[in-house]
Amino acid sequence: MVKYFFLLFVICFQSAISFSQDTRKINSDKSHVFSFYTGYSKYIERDDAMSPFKYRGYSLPLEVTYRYNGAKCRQIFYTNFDKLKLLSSLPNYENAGLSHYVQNTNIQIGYSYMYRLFRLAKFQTDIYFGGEINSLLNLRRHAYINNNEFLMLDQFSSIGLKALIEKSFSNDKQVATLNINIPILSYALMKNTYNAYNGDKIDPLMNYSGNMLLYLAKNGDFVSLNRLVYFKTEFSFIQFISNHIGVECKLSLRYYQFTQYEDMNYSKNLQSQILIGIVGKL
Amino acid sequence: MKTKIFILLLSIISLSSCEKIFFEEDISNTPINNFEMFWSDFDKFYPSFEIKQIDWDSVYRINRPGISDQTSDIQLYNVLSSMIKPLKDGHVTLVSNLGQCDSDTIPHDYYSNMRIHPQSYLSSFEINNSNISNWSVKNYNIGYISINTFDVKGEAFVYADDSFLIIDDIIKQFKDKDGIIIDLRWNGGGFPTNVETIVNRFTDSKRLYIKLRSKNGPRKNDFSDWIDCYIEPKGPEQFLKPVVVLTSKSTGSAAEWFTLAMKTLPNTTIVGDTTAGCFSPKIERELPNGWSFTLSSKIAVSADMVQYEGFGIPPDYSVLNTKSDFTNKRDAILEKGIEVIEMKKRQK
Repeated sequence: MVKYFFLLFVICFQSAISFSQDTRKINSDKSHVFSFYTGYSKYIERDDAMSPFKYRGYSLPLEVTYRYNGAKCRQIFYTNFDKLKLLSSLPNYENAGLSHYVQNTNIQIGYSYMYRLFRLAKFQTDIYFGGEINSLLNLRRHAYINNNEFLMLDQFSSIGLKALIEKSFSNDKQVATLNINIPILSYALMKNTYNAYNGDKIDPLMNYSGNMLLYLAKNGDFVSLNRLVYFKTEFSFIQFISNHIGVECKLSLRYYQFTQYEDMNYSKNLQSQILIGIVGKL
Repeated sequence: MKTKIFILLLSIISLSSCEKIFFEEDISNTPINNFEMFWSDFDKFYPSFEIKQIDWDSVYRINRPGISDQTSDIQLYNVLSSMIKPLKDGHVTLVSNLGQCDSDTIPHDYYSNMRIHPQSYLSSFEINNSNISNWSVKNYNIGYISINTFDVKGEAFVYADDSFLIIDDIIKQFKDKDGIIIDLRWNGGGFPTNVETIVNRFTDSKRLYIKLRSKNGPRKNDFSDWIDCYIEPKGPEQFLKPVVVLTSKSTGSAAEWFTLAMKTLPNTTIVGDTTAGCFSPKIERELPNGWSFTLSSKIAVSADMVQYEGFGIPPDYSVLNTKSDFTNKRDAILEKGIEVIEMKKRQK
């Protein structure tokens, strides 16, 4: 139901901006653009080290983005936060203490720098290419029996490639972008995880008295595409309603598959979001 | 405009239908799949088949023919329960909507696990938090500490619970006592970090007390290297006079780590019943029908490589409370503990 509501909203939003009339030039050579979003987020994940079943959930994410639009470059800084409860399709027998859920917290932060490669003047389209560094934390508390929670997490700090296509429309009050980011090299914390209590990184924590997250952060591994398949793509449309204020609709899709234990355990996570944002431009 | 709407619609539909591209279908809920997953998860994760001399392949051969798509829930529950009963492992449990099957069950009327009429023996209640309480033993210069759990109520990424640091105050108050009795008879475990917080206040030197190895792969011999765990003196002062640890069949998991750690100390005596024999942390798994089960995930041995997993730690003095003790408000285990400390005091 929520999905259809957003679909309707997006169509209305698109209809409105399509009829807007203004010929003032908005995209000057350099600008600072701030966006604050919220919207609808859908998660699906499966963590083989914990359970062979998929868990799904929906939430209201928050995202803040800063873009610097240079004459020949684009810089983007973003942070995205999400907290939600994931459920499986397994039957719950609450009276017997069986309730299958995962409390999930997601934090992602990233910075990208891209340089303009091509300008297709005829189509008012620029193509940028560069890199992104980002850090992702997906923290999960899995509970199956008597709400007894087991902590598991995915954390990657990555450097990768990013491409951006940016199209300005004829009246220059509308900008559409499509970008994709593919991390190539990542520092990952939970390599060789066999189950909730066994794994190269988890084993030494049995009687560890300090902060486990800090311990794990100090003992991570560099992994590449052979262990971490990861991409994030976004489609965004900005409609400026004045020289400095606009609204933005953004669709984003993020997927990663981290090999926890070779040929056996994978942590898979799919996040799709429809975000509506307020845009401020200086 | 139509093109824009079309692109947006296409994008949204694409986002919604991505699940099938990236994820396989969940295993369907059939009796056969439930059985197979149950057997297979134990096969992959359970570390102690060899110790318990159980041929898990043979368990499959015996039970699999009895399972079909017509098998009822109760029949499946009975089959799965019968498979885990012989493991006699306090960390192996099947939880279903039809009931719960514990691999190792202690009878409710097992008097030896009970603390009988403590008010007859204890006075001067001094400090209390939900984890540790301490008293003095009436008519003797002996301290008494009851530790109910080694569990954590603290922050998310820390296993060490600061409430156990109250042991420093207790040691200070008990420093002139002839000895201390530590009662673990109802302690079902928690986190080893908290075990070490306490035991570190009773040792005069660094000592290896437990070695662990993880079942870290699906093959029968996939085990990690041994990981050594130590106790070492910590806190402002340590209590190095005689200590008696009271144990029962309900003394399990981290409480057994505690018992094992105390056992490495020359001034410690274990009194009571053999412990539960489940040292390993337990993991939880799920079945397609919504049932869940727990199982041990590691193997633990003492510093001298003795395997207590599945057997429990035998006491130095085996004393069991009986129904008659219960009727007469007599705690024979605690009395033996007092006697041991008095005996050591005289020997000194």
